[in-house]
Amino acid sequence: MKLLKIVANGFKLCNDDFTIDFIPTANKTEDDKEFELHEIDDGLFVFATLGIIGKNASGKTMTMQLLSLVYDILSCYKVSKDIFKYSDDVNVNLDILFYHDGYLYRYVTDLVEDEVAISDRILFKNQKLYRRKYRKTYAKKIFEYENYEEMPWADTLPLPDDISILYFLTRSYNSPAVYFSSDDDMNKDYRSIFKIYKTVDTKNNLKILESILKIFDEHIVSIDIIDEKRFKLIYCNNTSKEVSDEELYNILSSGTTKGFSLFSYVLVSLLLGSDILIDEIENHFHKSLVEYLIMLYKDKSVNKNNATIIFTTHYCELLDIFNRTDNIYISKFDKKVRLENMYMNYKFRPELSKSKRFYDNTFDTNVNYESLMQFKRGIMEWQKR
Amino acid sequence: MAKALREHEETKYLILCEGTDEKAIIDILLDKKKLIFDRSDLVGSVVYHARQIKNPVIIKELERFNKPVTTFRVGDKQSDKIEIPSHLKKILAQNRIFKYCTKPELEILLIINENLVDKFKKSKQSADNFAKSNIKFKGTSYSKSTKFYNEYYGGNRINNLVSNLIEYKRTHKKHKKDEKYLADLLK
Repeated sequence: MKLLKIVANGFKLCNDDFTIDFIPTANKTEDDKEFELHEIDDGLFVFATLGIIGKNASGKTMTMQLLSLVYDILSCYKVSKDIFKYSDDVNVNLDILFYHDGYLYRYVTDLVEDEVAISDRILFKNQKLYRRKYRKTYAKKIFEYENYEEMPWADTLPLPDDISILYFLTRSYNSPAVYFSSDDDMNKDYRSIFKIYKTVDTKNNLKILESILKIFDEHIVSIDIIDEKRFKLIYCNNTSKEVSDEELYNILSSGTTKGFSLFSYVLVSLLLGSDILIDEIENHFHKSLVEYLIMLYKDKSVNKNNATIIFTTHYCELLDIFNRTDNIYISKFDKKVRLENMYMNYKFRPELSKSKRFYDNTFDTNVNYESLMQFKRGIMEWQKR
Repeated sequence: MAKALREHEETKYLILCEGTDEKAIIDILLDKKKLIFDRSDLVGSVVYHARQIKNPVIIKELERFNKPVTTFRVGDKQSDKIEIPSHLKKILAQNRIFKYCTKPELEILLIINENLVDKFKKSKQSADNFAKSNIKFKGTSYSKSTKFYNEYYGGNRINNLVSNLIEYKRTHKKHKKDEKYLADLLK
């Protein structure tokens, strides 16, 4: 299953027809096909990497939450109320295009809060599912929705109204994406991370875990799980220490903890071909590590199952490793949050330095100079008192 | 041979393949450990499909390694010269770039394997077109695809590939002075 396009209306502070597109619109060079794009079916390409950049409070996290919500629907057919906070009692409408098993699907639904006071359910209303068998000749016509057929069973079989009809499509949990928020609590959950290794490393030799730890902390050789709440740290000088999960969190640096957690999810993403959503990718990491992470998704030797990395960042330099511009969105917030596509809205050659354009303020993303000066003058005045 | 091509023991090789099929061939040889180097000897631990050093992925890998590398280009004629970005000139040097050629086209290996060299020479066709109309594997006609190469030379048929590379070198003596043979990279 691969997401191709989302159009959202009514989600939080996003503007009307808030659109995120995973299909390339600019020309596709041979080089791009090697590094920048995945061919998921004959002639059907999606991005290997998608970056969302913007200044603080421009809606980057909100965009990630929308993506996370959509991936939740695709994977477990439900929406969590935590992430679903809409504005002004407006219903949320989603129009989702995805590819699955040789077919193009268009799924349309409204999401509304259950009116029962104590309920925390989000209900699916007015659901429609359309599909069309994919053929190479349709590659440039996939948005011609008049050629899609509505699936007749979609509204006829009974399902709880907080379960999407997409359940009928796959009927079992699938994992099209992993969401890695900037919230530190996720990183503390060592037990969930170790579950990953039980899944992917059936021989339990944990060599790959050791290689992750080596990236972030050269003093630690390995971490073994003893039981539910106890871990054993093994140091490179052959000493070891048994610690609780809380102690482990305090012993490891924040960078190691986040790195251990994030790279473990990256491992799952690359092995299963699940997309990964990372909010504030630069958080805690050296720039070269972040670049390395993004480049893993461009490298078909390791990214064999077409996983896509979707990330937000404040650091425009990261975008210089993108060889395209249509997979870069700039988030902006004036009255509403809106996304501008670097290719569609600011046509310039992809090989030009994107970071230089950011510093030139081509995209109107620079931090307000006067606000910075006002703060500085405020400190100086306060010191005079 | 590989050690002789290295300037320093700690250096790595940058492998640039002209096409995806050349990349498939090198990957097959690497996976079967038939070459005088392994993936740990390669910049980025991978073989690249690239004619020039323009993509940020390759540039970033070279910057990350940040030591002089030896470059192997794999293709047919490779008449174009690699343009080295100015900030990478300490890492890449023209005199450390070597061409490994399979002429007229990579399909000559399949033609050798099928004992069709004489027929090919008489046909006056390109190797690509000749292979399309004369070579089949497991009921599938040759198509210019990595899938075909992976199936054709996969599994135990790796030995055919090794023999074909050696035979190619034995029968194609007219390489220019700077054009090396893939057989030179075999263990």
